[in-house]
Amino acid sequence: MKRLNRAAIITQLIDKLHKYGSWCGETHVQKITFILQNLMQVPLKYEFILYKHGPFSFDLRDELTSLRADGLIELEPQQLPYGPKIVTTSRSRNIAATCSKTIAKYNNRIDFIAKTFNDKGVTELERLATAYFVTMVNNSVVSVDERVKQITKLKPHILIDNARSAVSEIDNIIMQAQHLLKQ
Amino acid sequence: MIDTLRILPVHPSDEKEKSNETALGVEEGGIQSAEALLLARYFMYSQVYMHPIRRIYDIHLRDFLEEWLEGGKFSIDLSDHLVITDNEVTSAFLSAAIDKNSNGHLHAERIVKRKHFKLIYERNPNDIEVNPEAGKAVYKALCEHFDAEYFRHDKYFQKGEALDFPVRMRDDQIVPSLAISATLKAVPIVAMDYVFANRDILNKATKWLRENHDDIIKPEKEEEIDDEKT
Repeated sequence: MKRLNRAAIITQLIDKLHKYGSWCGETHVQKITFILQNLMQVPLKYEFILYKHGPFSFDLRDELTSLRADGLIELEPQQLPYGPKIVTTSRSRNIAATCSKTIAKYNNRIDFIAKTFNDKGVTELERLATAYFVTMVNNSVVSVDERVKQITKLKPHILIDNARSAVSEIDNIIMQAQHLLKQ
Repeated sequence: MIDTLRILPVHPSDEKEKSNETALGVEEGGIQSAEALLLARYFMYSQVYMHPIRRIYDIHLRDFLEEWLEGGKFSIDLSDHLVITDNEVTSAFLSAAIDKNSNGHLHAERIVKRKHFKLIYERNPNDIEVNPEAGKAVYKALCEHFDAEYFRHDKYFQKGEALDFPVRMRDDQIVPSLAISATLKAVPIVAMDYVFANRDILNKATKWLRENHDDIIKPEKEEEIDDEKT
């Protein structure tokens, strides 16, 4: 996928996250883009690794910086003491018009992800994205208990009960996503 | 600055986060020093490291190395790799600049005799508004209309994340630097997009580019999207 098409998808995702009430800081965009790319099969081609707080892409981090340089997104400081939100600019509308086919193709997938994760904070997103990462590398064939074990081994700060509820929630989201992708 | 550095709790990313993380931050009294350092870094990048003449010499050197080195790359054998130092490379391009039959002669001559390619296009806010990939579009159009050998494209965006670090205020509250510093919020991101042209064709290409600029920088018509998988 070309850079402008990726920019169109990322700015569309940011707009939809705001529309559905997400805080939409950089961590939110990182975790949600990971799920959008892999679960919803949107070919953004960012390389993600399991980092300190779950899946993280240095490519995506640099891309967000380049989108700021191009004036397509900006950081919006929040009331103290919270970190900034990412918002799109009016210039991103031009990209949306230029890449209208790309947006039309992936719009329902972006919408699904934005709606599903709209109310999640960064701590919950870390658990869910890590649960999806573990599910993905196991090709979905490993039991809930085994995945919970893997999550708590990889991320000892995640409590067993929280890991279990994250696996259960992500399994439910995967089922809904597969249903949507078949349509 | 050093006196005000502190390991501080990280401010929460959102209203739901309760983080126990720590990060390097500053006390409120050190924020102006941090601003000064970060601005100095920006100016160093934009005026020195990203200066077009410095960048084009990198490109000519890279072109020379690709022709001069066996297989176009440095050896990955440790002992072979370590015998090539700056001295060997400098000596090689000095010799190659004189000897027309040497590998990389043309590129070496451009470096040694200061016949470097000249800047024909650089990114600007008006063009970015129309097409963030304007530099790429200009390079492509020039290569198609003239010959790719006459042109080089060089693009760089600053890497990393925003200049957001914790600051301990005089009342002990920990806040994000971006929320209390208008200066840090306004430090530009280093971004450059250059197209260089061989001097032999510079005037002709510049004239052609001026005449066709608006058409050239229009974003490409979107192709049909492949249903490729990640």
